[in-house]
Amino acid sequence: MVTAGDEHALEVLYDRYGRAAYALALRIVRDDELAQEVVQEVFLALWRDPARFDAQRGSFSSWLLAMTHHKAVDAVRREESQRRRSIDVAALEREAGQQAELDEQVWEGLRGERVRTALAALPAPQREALLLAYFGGYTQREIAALTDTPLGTVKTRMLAGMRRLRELLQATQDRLPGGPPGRGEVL
Amino acid sequence: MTAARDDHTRWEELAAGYALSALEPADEEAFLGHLPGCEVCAELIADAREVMAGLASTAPAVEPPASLRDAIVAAATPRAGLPPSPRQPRRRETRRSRYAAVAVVAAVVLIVVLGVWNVALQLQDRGQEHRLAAAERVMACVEQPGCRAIPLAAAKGGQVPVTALVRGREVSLVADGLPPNDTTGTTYVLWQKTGAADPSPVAAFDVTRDGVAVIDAGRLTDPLGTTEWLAVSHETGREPPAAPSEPVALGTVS
Repeated sequence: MVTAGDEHALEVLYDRYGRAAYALALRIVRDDELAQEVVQEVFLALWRDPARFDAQRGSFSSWLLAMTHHKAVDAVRREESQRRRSIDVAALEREAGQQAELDEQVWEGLRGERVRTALAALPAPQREALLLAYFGGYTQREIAALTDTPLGTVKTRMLAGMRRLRELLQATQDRLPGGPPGRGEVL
Repeated sequence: MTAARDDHTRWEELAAGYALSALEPADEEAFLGHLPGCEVCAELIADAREVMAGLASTAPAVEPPASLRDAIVAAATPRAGLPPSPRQPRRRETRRSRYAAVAVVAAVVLIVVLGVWNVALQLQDRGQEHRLAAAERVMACVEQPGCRAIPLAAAKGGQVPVTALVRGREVSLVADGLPPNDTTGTTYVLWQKTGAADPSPVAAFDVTRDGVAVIDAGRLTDPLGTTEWLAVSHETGREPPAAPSEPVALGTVS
């Protein structure tokens, strides 16, 4: 039986992260039903075993999105979607560089814009390797074949691109919202 | 030394690929053999996840169908109210075994969150909104890298009644089950102990109702990094005494 309490409890998690997880899953699997399956799998896995999150290593949201990414990539490899296989590098870069939707929340829009700027500053081969892996779901060996590049070079580019992008993002790190609380106040 | 560093570069390259789920099976198997105990690679993966979350923010904003939320709630409902149970091991679980100690804090925090939910599910009482608000506070802290959630265990054992959420020096408390105090003659006090100094009071506060309360407790006297422990005591009088009586909850800060 679904009670009002159940709905409220899950909304705490889902309302905070569901939208971002769904957007990411859909971007990778490019199929609405499959994206929904991925998001459901992620939230139920967390609900059943919250201890798998390690707060000592990074934020909860990045961990949840990494889990979403992993499950989406697994799903798209299972499906071997023809659409995914036909996606070329130029399309991935074009999509990653698109302006945020107008109705996107302000914070997400600002963050997305910051990342797009950082991506644009990456050397093209590094950007290509990261986008093919992250949004394309390709393995390092597949990327090597797609880009006609030695596998060792792809591995080096992926690490270098990840480090460079992190530096670029840290250089423009926005302050998190939130003001100082009052003293001894019961909320 | 150069050879050793160069040798480890190979693992770092695999770590980036692992974070991106882009390794071939043979590489992944080799990397999972290396990862346990390698702090450098564990950090690299955590950093990569932050970068990947940034990449995720470039995905077009789309609203999931309302039916998705309903489906998730419905699928979880049979388990609601039960303690979280481990699933069968997955390929990504092995690397966690070596980090059991640091995972404990995270587990406590999330179990506090889910415990709050589950209590809310079971009781269906008027305090449910407060519990959910408290869960949101803990979750918001867990979400931010600069925020620490420190469980303060009951001095006499039992469940964790207070979680301190510390960002910079700002501290708030999520208290679950602290009895309401007599607001005319007693007060709760949050204490901070650093190094050789005596414990100092951070804030006096009241708990005015049963169940869960979220209390903004102002600023720590000293930085969290120098703190030995945080504790909550129940004191006679409305002002903090010079020294704490026996704490009702205490948590060491590692």
